[in-house]
Formats: sequence, structure tokens, C-alpha cells
Amino acid sequence: MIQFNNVSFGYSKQKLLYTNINLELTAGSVYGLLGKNGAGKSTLLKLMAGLVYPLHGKLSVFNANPTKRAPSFMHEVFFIPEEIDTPSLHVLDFGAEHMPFYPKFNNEQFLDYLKEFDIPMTNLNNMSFGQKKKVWIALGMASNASLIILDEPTNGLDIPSKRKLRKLIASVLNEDTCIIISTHQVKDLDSLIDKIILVDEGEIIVNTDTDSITEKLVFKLSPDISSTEQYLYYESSLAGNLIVKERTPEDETTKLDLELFFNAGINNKNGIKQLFN
Amino acid sequence: MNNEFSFRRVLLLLRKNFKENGRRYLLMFIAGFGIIFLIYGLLIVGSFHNMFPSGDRKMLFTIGIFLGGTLFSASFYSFFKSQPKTIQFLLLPATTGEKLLISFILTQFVYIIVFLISFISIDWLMCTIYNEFVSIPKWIVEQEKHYYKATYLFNSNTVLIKEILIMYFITTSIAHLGSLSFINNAYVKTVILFVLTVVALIFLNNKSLDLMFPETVMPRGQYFTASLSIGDKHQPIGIVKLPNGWFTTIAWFLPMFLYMSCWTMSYFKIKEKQI
Amino acid sequence: MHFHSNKAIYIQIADLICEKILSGIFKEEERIPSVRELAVDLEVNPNTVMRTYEYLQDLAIISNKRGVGFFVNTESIERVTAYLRKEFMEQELPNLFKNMKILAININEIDQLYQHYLQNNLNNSNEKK
Repeated sequence: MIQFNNVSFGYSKQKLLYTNINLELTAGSVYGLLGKNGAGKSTLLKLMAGLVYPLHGKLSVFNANPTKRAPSFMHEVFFIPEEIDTPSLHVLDFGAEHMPFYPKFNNEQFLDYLKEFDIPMTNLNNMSFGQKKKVWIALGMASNASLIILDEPTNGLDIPSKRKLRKLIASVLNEDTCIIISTHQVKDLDSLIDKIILVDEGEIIVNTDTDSITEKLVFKLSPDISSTEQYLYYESSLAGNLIVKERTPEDETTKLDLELFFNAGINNKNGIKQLFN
Repeated sequence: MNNEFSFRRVLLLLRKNFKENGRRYLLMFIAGFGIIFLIYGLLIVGSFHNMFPSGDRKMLFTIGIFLGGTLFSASFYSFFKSQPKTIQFLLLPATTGEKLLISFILTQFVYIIVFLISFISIDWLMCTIYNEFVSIPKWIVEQEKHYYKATYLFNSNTVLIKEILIMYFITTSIAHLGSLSFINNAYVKTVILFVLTVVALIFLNNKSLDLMFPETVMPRGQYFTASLSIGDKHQPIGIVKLPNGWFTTIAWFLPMFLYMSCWTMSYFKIKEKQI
Repeated sequence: MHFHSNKAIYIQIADLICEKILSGIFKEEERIPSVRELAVDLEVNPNTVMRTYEYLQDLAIISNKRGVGFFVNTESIERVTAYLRKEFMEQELPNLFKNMKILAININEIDQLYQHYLQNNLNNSNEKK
């Protein structure tokens, strides 16, 4: 669905952020894009949406070139930025003004989602940041675009809304959709993510599905660290040691601990890269 | 929906623009209307025993059309300051041409039409009020009494409406391009750049003329000249002029060229806009 | 649903469905929630639920009737019991033994407590009736 072929990008030609990256994203999955602050997560998302243009290489999204910004491409892409800005309009007018641009827009879904999110039927000006954000999310999901990009969607959402967002994402995903979520708060959405892209310092460290991670790695809390075993990464605390190690056939599969996996990927880049590439 | 130009999408974009910015437009209109109305009011109060000044009204008209028009055009893309709004604008499924057409319609047609209609109606209203209530001083002779009858600004043939309109279209196009080029303080930056460019052009023109001809043969000054004198400086034996047809061509081509390039550049500014 | 950390999520969901079958909430030959319904309910990726259902199909606990949905198989209670027994024997018992050894707990003590538990449970269920 999305293909990066030797794509390079930088806000200036002298200082490249990404050099010759190759990446493929397929439909039917929820991608979690992880990386530290300033690692270039948002930039990667903007590349896919055609908001910034690659300096070199070929990038295709649904076999189209995003930089052409053709309407037929754009009505398949919905980008919800971290910060949002809404006009002073009644929420229903807001929906009505966007609806005709998206051929697959479903107004009933939009109203349903607004109800799910407890959005008051009033002017957007009277709403809090979190409510405005939920209106945008509802709009994006109701557009039925094939590629939905959410940059830090849980920022500004209260606890019940995060739960409803998870339900919403689970309900809209189908074989033709690709949902990409960039997030710092991995715990908010980790049971929904089934593919992981980990970026650091302008390189793609991992692009894999969570099944292969749990297939290849074991995450566990162990009271002691034995020097004979090989760990990819561990964190020590009074409660014990959180360890990441390569899984042997004897080991049971464990639940993926995204936070631990993230730290392992950042701190032991080569170890993780060797396993997954 | 196809990727070709769609008139329906233009209408949708236009409606969206009015819904989202309608309140702002209305406030701008009320402010502008109020200012013109107020100034007319002051003029009329000061003129009940005097002639209704047409020069002041012309000045007001000219300032209103240029200052208002360029300010409006230069602030059209001020929402580029907000990254989310820019993302929304760029990703809205419509072609660049359709998006550009919205600012074209608003700055090149809607503003000028609204301005002309409101100005003419204020002018008409105020002239009527003046004619109704004016008290002509007793010592004015009968033959001069017609000076105390206000004529509508657009009935007078001294308003260079064609020239003003051409200038309006060009300056607002430049201001519009400026609003796409500068994110902060677009108006001030565009004005400064515009003034600097004009000064530089005058300077370069002079330099290049200087290279070709000695200063002494340029009879109409050293910065602009359309003719050259032949022979002695004090007793020229003839004047060489550009053919007449050239003037009309230049007078037509230059504004057209400027106008077209502004809008072509605006198109590519939007097309290549990255965030 | 809160998932604990020692098992893959799809297995935890499989366990959940097995428990529902044992407790009679999902009855034999009845339809169970669709992949999407369960995914929304548990707030997990539908692909994960799909994987659970494939896993349970391999264990012959549920089967897929095309176009209708997933159904609990006949005789699935026996299979579920066998599956959960196997899981208990292989995973939970070793842990229990390990702790018993550390804390020096005799198997007879456990047996006593277990008999006591059974007695209590029986009384409780009688009272209810």
C-alpha cells in the first residue's frame, strides 16, 4: 500500500533527516510508529500524506505519487495532526462542509461516533481541546479513507475517551484500511497495534508485526540476572529485572511489552536489527 | 471524483470558505463601511454651508480600494501560521487550481464588487442628504449656485476608474502572492519588498540607459525616457521616439504580464507548499 | 479487558472464550461474537481476535460457518476441559511447585486445604438452592 524506495528527506539538503530509507506498509493493519521526541515520526507521516516531498527516491501510496496531491489520492488519506484547529462552526455544519469532498463519507457513522465520544451538539468554539480533537477523529473515521494517519491521537483525551478511541479503531479496521498511529503513550493503544515501526536518528530500526516480535523475543520479569544467558536488553529495579531476550523453542510466548521493546530497540539497535531484518 | 477541474468542487470550497470565515468577512465589511460612513459624515457636517468636497471623496475612494483590497489579499493565507489549518487546507481533496480559484474570486471579484456597491451607495446617500439640507450662503450669485449641488462621484468624469481598477488588480495580486510567500507580517514584508523592487528597477533602468546613451541626449530626464534628441543638446535637430504602437503594446502587455506572473507564481506556491 | 503480561494476548482471549464455554455463557452449537464485535468489546486489534479464532479452530473448539459466523462445536466442553487442563498442568502447576518448594509446603497440607475448599463450595451451592 505504501512503499518507500531509497527515500531521502531533510528540511535542508545539507542536513538529511532520513537517508535512503526503504519501508513497506500493507493494508489491513494498525501500525504503531514509535520513536523518541524529534526522531522524525511526524516527518515520516507527512511524507506519506504528501505534506512534505522526498528529496530523492521514490515514494508511492496506493500506487500514486503523494506529491501530486491529486483529489483521488487525497480523499483516501485522512491526517489528524497532534495539534488541531477548528473553525467557529456548529459541529454538524463542520461535518457537512467536509462531507462532499470525501466520496465514501458516511454521515450516520459521523453522528454515531460523535455520540460515542459524548460530543455536545454545539459550536466548536464552545468545546475543549479534547472535544475538538474527538470531532476531528470522528470526521476522519467517518470519511472512510483508506489511510488514516493519527499523530499522537491520545494527547488531550480523557480516560473514557481513550477507551472509546480503542473501540472505534477496532471497529473501523478492515482489509483495505491502514491506520498509522504515532504515539509516545504506548500503553494507551498497545493492544490495538499489530505492526510496529521503530525509528531512531533517521533510520528505520524495525518494521515488523507484533506476532513476529513475540515469536522471536521473550519479555519477562526475572528476579535475577544470570550471567550465562544472553539478554538483548534489561532494566533493573527493586522489583526485579525486566528482560528482553531471544526466544528459544522451550520458552513460552509472552505478551509484547511495547515499552520494553522500544527501549531495547533504542539501546541495542544492532541486536534488534539483526533479529528482524 | 475525478482529478480534473470540477466546478462543483469550486462551489463547495466557496461555501466552506464563507461558512468558516463569514463572520470575519462580515466584521471587516462593517469596519470598512463604518469608516467610510464616518468620514462622509464628518465631510457633510463640515459642508452644510460650503461646497461638498469631491477631492476628499476621491481620495477616500482610492485609499479604500487599495488599502482595503491589499490588506484583504495579503491576509488571505494568514492561516498558514497554524500548522493544523495548513494541513487541512493542503489535504482537502480538491485540485490546487480549485483552491487557488477561491482566493482569486474573493480578492479579484467579491471584494471589489462589495466595495464599489457600498461606496456608491454611501456616496449616493450622502450626496442626496447634502443636496437636501445644504444652505447656500445669501451672497452667492445665481450662476454659481450649481457649485452647491453635490454630484455623485461616479457621474464626474475625473475619476480614473479604468486606471484605478487595473492598479487594483495588480496590487492585490502582488499582495496575494505576498500572503502565500510570507507567513508572518505578510503585508509589511510585501510592501517593503515591493518598494525595494520598484526602486531597484528605476535604478537599473537608469544604469542601462546610461550605458547605451549619454545623459545629455535624454530629453525627458534621466530615469525614464521614451525619446532621444539628436544633435546638439541645446539645439537638437530632431527627436527619436518609439513607434506609437509600442506604447499601447507596452501599456497593455506590462500589467498583463505582471498579473499573469503573480497568479502563476501563486499557483506554484500552493502546489509546492510543504509543512 | 486487562491483559496480564505473561501470555500472548491471543492466548489470553482464547482462555477467556474457553472459560465462557465452560461456564455455559457460550453454549454448544451457538454463535459466538464476530471477530469485530469481540475486538471492539475487548479493545484489541481484530487481527488478534482472528488469530484467537484460528487457534480455537485448530483445537476444534469452534468452527467457522461461512457467511454466518463462528459457532461452538458439539463436544467442545470436553475439548475445552482438556485444553485448560493441559494449560494448567504445563504452566501453572510448575509455578505452584516452585513456590511450594521455596516455602516448604507439604503436598498433604495442600490436600487438606483443597478438601476444605470443596466442602465449603458444596455447602455454598446447596444454600443457594
